[in-house]
Amino acid sequence: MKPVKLAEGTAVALAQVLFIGFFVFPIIWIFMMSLKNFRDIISYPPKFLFSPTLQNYSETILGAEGALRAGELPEYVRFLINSMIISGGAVCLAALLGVPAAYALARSGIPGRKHIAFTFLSFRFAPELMVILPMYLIYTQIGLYDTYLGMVLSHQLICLPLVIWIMMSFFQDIPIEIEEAARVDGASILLTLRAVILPMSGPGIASALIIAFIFSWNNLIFGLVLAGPNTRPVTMGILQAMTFDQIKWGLMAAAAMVSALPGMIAAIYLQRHITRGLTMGAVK
Amino acid sequence: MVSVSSSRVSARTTYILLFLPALAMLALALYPFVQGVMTAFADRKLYYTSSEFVGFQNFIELFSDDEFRDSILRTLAFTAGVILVQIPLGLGIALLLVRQNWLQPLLRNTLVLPLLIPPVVAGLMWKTMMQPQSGILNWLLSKVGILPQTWLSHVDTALLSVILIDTWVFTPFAALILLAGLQSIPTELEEAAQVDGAGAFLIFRAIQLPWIVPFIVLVALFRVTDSLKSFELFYATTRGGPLNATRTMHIMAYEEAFRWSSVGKAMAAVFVLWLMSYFMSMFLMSKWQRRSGVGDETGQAS
Amino acid sequence: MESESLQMLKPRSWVSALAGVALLGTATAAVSQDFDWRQQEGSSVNVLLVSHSFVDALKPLVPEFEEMTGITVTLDVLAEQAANEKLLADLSSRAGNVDVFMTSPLSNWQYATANWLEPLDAYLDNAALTSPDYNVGDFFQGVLNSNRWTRVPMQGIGEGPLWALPINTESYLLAYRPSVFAELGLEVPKTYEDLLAIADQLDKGAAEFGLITRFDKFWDLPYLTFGTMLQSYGVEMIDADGNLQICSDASVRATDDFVTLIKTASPEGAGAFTWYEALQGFASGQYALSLNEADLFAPVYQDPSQSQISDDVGYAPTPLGPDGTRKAGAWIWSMSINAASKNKEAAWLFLSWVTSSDTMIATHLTGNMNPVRASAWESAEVVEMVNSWGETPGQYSEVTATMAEVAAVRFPPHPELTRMLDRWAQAVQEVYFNGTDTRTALCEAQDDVGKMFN
Repeated sequence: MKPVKLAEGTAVALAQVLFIGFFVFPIIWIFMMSLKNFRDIISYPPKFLFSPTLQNYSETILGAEGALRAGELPEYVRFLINSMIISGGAVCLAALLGVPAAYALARSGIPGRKHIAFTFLSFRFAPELMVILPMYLIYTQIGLYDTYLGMVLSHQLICLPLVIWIMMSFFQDIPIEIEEAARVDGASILLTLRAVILPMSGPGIASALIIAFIFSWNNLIFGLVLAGPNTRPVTMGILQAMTFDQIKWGLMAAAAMVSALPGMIAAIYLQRHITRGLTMGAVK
Repeated sequence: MVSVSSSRVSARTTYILLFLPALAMLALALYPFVQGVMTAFADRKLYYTSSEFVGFQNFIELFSDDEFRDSILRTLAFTAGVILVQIPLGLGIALLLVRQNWLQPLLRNTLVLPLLIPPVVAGLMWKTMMQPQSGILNWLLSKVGILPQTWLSHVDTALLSVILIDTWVFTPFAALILLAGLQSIPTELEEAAQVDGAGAFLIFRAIQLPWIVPFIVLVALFRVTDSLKSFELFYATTRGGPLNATRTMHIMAYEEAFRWSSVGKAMAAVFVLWLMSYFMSMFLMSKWQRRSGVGDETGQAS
Repeated sequence: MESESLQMLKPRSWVSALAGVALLGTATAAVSQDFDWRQQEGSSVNVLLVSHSFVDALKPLVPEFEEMTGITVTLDVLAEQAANEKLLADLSSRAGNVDVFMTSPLSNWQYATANWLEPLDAYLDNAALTSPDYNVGDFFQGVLNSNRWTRVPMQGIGEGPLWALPINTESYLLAYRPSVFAELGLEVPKTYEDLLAIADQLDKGAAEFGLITRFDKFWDLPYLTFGTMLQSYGVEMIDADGNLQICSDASVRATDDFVTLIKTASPEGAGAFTWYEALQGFASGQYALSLNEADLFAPVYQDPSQSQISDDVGYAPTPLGPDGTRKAGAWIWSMSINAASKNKEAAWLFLSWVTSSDTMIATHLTGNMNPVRASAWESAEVVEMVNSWGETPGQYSEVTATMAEVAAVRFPPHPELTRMLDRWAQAVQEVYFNGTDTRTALCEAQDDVGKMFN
């Protein structure tokens, strides 16, 4: 190997290690916190060696002793299920509505299409504070308050602009000749989209969906104001560890770790799709 | 006027495909948004049932308040910091990720981790790590002989510290989108360049960078609008303090509405924030359009 | 503008209080011997709670209530800030999704002004709705009456309708490390003068830093912790003639002394300490003294699984001011019924069950401090638990008893008091961070506060 190549390889590896350290250190720290009792958490100098306890996890998942009612799922598990329904549903709906819309916006020549695209994006500009009080009132009046449907709809404000805009960028980079070939063969627009365009935009769709899912999963304000006891998402469960007279760091850390699991699995699964999309792109 | 070629989506189909998403967004956001804007022009307190139309009174009060003007500058400084740090960093990481070596899968999988921690929790955790007396960061610094830092607890360093936390939370977002952009470059292009003996830097400048400009603009668009209205990280770490060092427009509006129940004034502040978002994204979008405009022309020529 | 002191522990004060309500108590008892708890069977109550030890203590008891009454109770537990947002959304829209909620006098001055609260007197007086053994006279009357207000701004606290029932109170004290004080040969300070004199020596012993206390830019500073110091210096927000005292000589002096204490005895960064950093800092053993922090941090300090100092902590009353005065702030968690609630009677049954003596004692034993009913403070089990806290047996009870005599809400009831106190706190921060002249900073704050009354 040439010395230049070797030096370059070392520099690359060094940079990679640096970034890995930066991203992973706080996560390791939170993970360690989730295995400590409060006394070890607040001790100084910081403790790297301690006798780990699973107390925080059992209290997170099962609830404090005695709080669990017979025949009911533990509260945190219900929060997790709620979040899966809400974020899963929101991403599915956003994909269903957003991908065709993005395709239309990327490929059509209708006048003012960029203004339409911009309008979709502009729904994100409004700080939630501006819409949340009137939204609460409407939701209560039309019976969407504390329902999954209401939550999935409200999360469209987060997911739909993300999906439309990320997908639009991808569709515009797909050479138009490929579609023309399909269209000449008589395929309808939706068939072209499904059979030709979607398989080619694997990386884009995977990234858009991961990102939309994560943003929806982490959302706080809709889950707080528009959700009630029946649909409360997992973020609110994590924050319960922040009590008025104390912050239960261990519980918060354990709850955050558990809440991150579905996203981790989804991300790793979809990342595989990113690479597959890549190779398909190479085949073309 | 663009002529609609057979290869393109017809106007009618476009409208059909756009109808449902547009309806969903309008139904969700329009009424609350109009309500919010109307409140900005009203003397509305949460604890009074009635509110009167007061014209631009709320805006006049806000703009004659030094603190509000400072908060605009702070909001802009934060947003500038976020963009200047996160886009180059995200691009760097994306470039590292397209190189295949043994560390690449590890970096790719750790990259998503920060995104999986809700920002408000990330903020609280970083705050404990940055605690000047008991935090792990100052302890680590002391091990390598660096003086302890004040981080979030001093007026001079608080805003920079929030930018650092925001960088941890949101750089992966930038990197993921830029990575997907890099991966959408047709491999033939790069292979051809490599055959011609072009070095990594030349490939980056001549092929990768021009290709991903729309993706960079896309990231900027999302990061700018999200940073302008950033709230959770601030509230979890400094709540606008110490003194007013991190009191951004959104924090100020939040205090007006939820701490002091002056919804009218809060909505006026938020409306100014919305206008800033609108014009900045308009500007960014004109950049984005220029690049894809080129794409349109090639599309037409074919 | 002196309001009634809390007078929680002094037997004499209960006796007089009891006499006042004895009539009501016997009349109620005579009418209904067997109270019908099942009158609202089949209805449901939504309860919005702030995450707090009280809630952890209450949760396991709720099934008993559901079984006894046939009412379904849904508890919605949120972090403090989140609960506040949710509550404001529900109250201001009059949606009535929340029936019962946790609140405090400070918030209730706003909620009552807006007609969002259900007055509770009619329920208390109704023998068909209130169990005969409820005994409202058992509450410390100062605490109970802090929830009364005529809704006339700036006056009438302790009079008028009852807007809420108390569930616990918090006051403030000194917590110190006996070993550190012994090592340094120092006395626990009795006055702020003593404290200033030893401030620069506190970090010379085993504790790395001198003192810790919260120092943020929000109302809790002048209302609660630093407020306790201000009041002992003779500063109240408004004097008897209705004049603002924010930049009075005494206020300037108290602020100067406070900033000097922080600059001398606290580490850099102390200008941004939150209440939980104050709690954790002292529990970690890094500090010699915790100044005027909440008494209900004691259960954490005393718990070996949560604290490094569980066997090395003592409590003392807050220091005396320059002329030997001691006064203190008070925080009172209470519960109210939403005026827009659709199940008010079921909500009342729940509220009266939560605040009954039996339920209260059960929650105190699992972490809800400090009691608001005389019978709870007297309960043998509560006495035994609290007795072990402190350097010497009974120290914590003694100190809280001393503080209860001087703890009170000494602020004018006003729906925007939080905005005024936030402004005041900001002035103190300006002195600390920017070195602004104390009088200038406080007088500017006073001018701004004056404008807020209009």
